[in-house]
Amino acid sequence: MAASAETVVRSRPALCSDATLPYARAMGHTPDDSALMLRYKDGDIAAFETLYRRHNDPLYRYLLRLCRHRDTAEDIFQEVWGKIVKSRASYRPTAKFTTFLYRVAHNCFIDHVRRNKRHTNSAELDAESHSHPGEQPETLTERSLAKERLSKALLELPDEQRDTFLLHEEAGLNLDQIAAVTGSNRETAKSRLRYAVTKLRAALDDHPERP
Amino acid sequence: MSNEREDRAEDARVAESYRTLAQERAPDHLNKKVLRMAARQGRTPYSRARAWMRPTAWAATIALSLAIVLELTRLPEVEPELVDIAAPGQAPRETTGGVAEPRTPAAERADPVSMDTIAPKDMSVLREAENRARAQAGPDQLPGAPQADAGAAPTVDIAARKISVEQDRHEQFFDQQDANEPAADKRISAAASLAVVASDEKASESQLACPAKLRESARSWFACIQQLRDGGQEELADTEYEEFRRIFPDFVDSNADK
Repeated sequence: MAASAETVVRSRPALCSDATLPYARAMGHTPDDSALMLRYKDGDIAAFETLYRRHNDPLYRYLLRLCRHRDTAEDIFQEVWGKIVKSRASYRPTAKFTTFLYRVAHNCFIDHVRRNKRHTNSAELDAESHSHPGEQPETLTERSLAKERLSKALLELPDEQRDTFLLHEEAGLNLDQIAAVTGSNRETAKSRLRYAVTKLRAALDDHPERP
Repeated sequence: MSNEREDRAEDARVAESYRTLAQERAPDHLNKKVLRMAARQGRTPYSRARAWMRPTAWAATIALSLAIVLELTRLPEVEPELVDIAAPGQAPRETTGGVAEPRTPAAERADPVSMDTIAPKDMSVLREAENRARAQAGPDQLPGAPQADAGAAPTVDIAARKISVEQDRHEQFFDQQDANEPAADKRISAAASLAVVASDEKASESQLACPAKLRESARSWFACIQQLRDGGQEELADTEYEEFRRIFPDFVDSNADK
């Protein structure tokens, strides 16, 4: 099952595609995330902008789904990038930059949960994400209904399972990297991911979750 | 095996559904805020300095270039007169009477080489020329000795007399010089003029040993040479004889044959 999950990750488009790097095709190669961070460390602001454009949207979606509250997600989003900027002086390219970025984001989220328990009661994202003002309820197709159910099921997942699933889908991390980010071992990460995928699959099929 | 394949397909379906669901993008205001913060904090001291260093460097370069160009255009042109004076191989300017014209300090600066060529280092050159003339005139012409035999060497007497006349003239010239003129200038100009006179006299000595009138015929010239030789002036006689033989190579002395 874990192997199938990794296959899904590989089939996703690369984060540093030509769409996110307008000059990549002209230059002939795409600068590595770590190289961009080191350039930023040396004062190259454009390098940071490139790095930011690569990761801003996936990180935003990760935090949005994790926090389930838009304002909180934006606050944590700024906090994460602030910490990245501040840590540039001590940055060492020992690990993948994505792992580093999402570990910071994960820790920020944990700190936020510890500071404020409000996020557990928030359902703002749920209401916003599933409203379709242009469509009448009777015109919704089965597919869009399935997406509705998926979104609802995702938000209802336990924090750890949702975190693992989002790290897998948004950050494109494998089980080892997820384990490193969440501070757990590989088997735990694998188990969490499997539970999350099973629940979401059940929601898509619109039948009760199998035990 | 088939269950595993089915699971993979289902996982892919979940992932695809999630991707179609999750299309949110980070808001622009958030992007701007983060990038502004990164730009503010990310500048190193060097990059901050670079903002004003580059235009400053350009301005300094342009200013220096302009200053150099202006300096080059303001340089005074060399006067053609000074160029003529400074030209090598030219004789020093002389005024009427054979006395070198006192040179202005500007001319001396412009033509140091020509000054060196015309001005003797010390008066020993003049004394040497005078002594040579006296020696050629005979032992009686040495300083302090009375002039006994003036008729024996008339040409040498003439040369010696010319030198003494020139010396007197230069002494008068010194007296007439403006008292304000630097003494060094006086000395240089006088030395230059005396050197010119000495060289002129040296050149005329050989010419005057036998006057031009006697040189017109071979016989009279040869007689003059004989007279010089009889008078003890062997060197002058030899010089004259060489010149005589160059002009009259076929002359045969009839008296010698007899």
